[in-house]
Amino acid sequence: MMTFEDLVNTSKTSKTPLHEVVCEWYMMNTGDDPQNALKTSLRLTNEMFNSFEARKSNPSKSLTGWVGENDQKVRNSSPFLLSQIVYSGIEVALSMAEHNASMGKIVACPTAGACGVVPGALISMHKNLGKSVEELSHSLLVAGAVGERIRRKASISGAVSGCQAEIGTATAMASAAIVYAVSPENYEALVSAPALALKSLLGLVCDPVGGFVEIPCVKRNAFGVSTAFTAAELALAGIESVIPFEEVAESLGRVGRRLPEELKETGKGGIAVTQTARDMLAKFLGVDRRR
Amino acid sequence: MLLDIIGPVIVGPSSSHTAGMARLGRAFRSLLNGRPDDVKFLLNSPLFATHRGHGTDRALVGGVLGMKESDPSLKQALEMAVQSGMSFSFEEVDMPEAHPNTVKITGQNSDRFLSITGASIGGGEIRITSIDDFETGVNGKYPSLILINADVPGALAQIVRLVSASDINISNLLLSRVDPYRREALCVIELDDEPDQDLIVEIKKLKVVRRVSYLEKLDVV
Repeated sequence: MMTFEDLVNTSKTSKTPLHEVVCEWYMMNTGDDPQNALKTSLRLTNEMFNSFEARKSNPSKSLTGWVGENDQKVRNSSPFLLSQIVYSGIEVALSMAEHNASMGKIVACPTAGACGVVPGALISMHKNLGKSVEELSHSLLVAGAVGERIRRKASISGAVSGCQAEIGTATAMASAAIVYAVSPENYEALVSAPALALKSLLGLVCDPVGGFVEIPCVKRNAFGVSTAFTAAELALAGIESVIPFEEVAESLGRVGRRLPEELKETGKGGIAVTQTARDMLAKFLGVDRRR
Repeated sequence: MLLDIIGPVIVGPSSSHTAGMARLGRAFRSLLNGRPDDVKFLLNSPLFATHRGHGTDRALVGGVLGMKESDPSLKQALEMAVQSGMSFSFEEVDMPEAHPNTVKITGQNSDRFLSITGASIGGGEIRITSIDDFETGVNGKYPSLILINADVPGALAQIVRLVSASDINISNLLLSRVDPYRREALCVIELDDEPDQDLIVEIKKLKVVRRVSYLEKLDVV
């Protein structure tokens, strides 16, 4: 069984780019031609760009009307504090998450609720660092390997392990994608970034208002992408994760199992049971009954 | 899908409550072999509770109209159903034993009445747990023939011989006794390629075969 560290070590010792190692690993898992993984990754990367463009030309509200204007606020403003690359990432992440909430077409990555984080990182690097779609599709393969290892060690479902498994996984995936795009042979940073990212989000609960993928999910995508850039920056500066990535992924599973059901996508805990949330839901369902 | 982790490409907001539901609707359409004139969706209580906010209603109706889970026009599915003259309704039903995201779909066209029960089990994947009250476990990952056949010696051989003659490889096969009293068995044959209509007609003609349903491959984008 190959761990993510094994994949990175194989890349280092065989002097093969990591995304090619991931393609071979994919072949060993599925029996599929490694070229298909490359093609699929390019297609999915293009789908992410298409979703972002579709959202900009049709910025509709969500089905409840609770979200749908956050992305435009960021788009129509400019950064006071953040660097342009993080700011763009946030804009894209909010756009994708709000597109999802309004029944737009998105790429689940790893889930629909967390679909903004990885595209946020990729599209921002296209705009601000001039990375080509093809280069970014290689980063997406590396992100896929990170996500797949978390899926096998723990879960990527909010209903099973809480939001740490959705936004947490997406953030770890994005951090590795960022490192791979800017410094593909920095092997230490490649294994540290996803571990650092995941550790920062361990224990994050899934407490959506009304059970809908809107509040807090949409905004958490923005925080996810900024954390991914932070984790990548730390790793690129040479900071190592004391706890290795695979052990952090195991911890995610352990924490997820201990989380009570109220905090696992049931809409029965956390911010979902606040007075404001209850009032919003009652209003929406009241409208529903009159329909 | 990439590494089972990135994708599918779907219309939001929820892979279970939206994409999986569109796929269940499409499964119903495929098994009925066309659009129903009227259709009723019986939603398990947890699913009913959030169905409007997740667009579950639009996804189910859109699927029955033949839209894929990646089709942004799912959002307008209810309006499109009204325009096309298909009537539909939603009801809450308590199914304590079933998966939370279970829906029973009943409907008819001029040819026949059909009832299926299915669950959206995560990531847009589905499992159809019963067809016309016979328990199954098909998932739409392969073109599937779902047969009720006489529970007598040689029945399977006759069926498989026809499949073999059509030169299509069988990927998975399940034969299971479902009704000892009526001597009936359920046979699910998952295929590598789409069968042509002639094969289905030939299988229907067999004396040992009581009923044939066909589910197309509900491909993932």
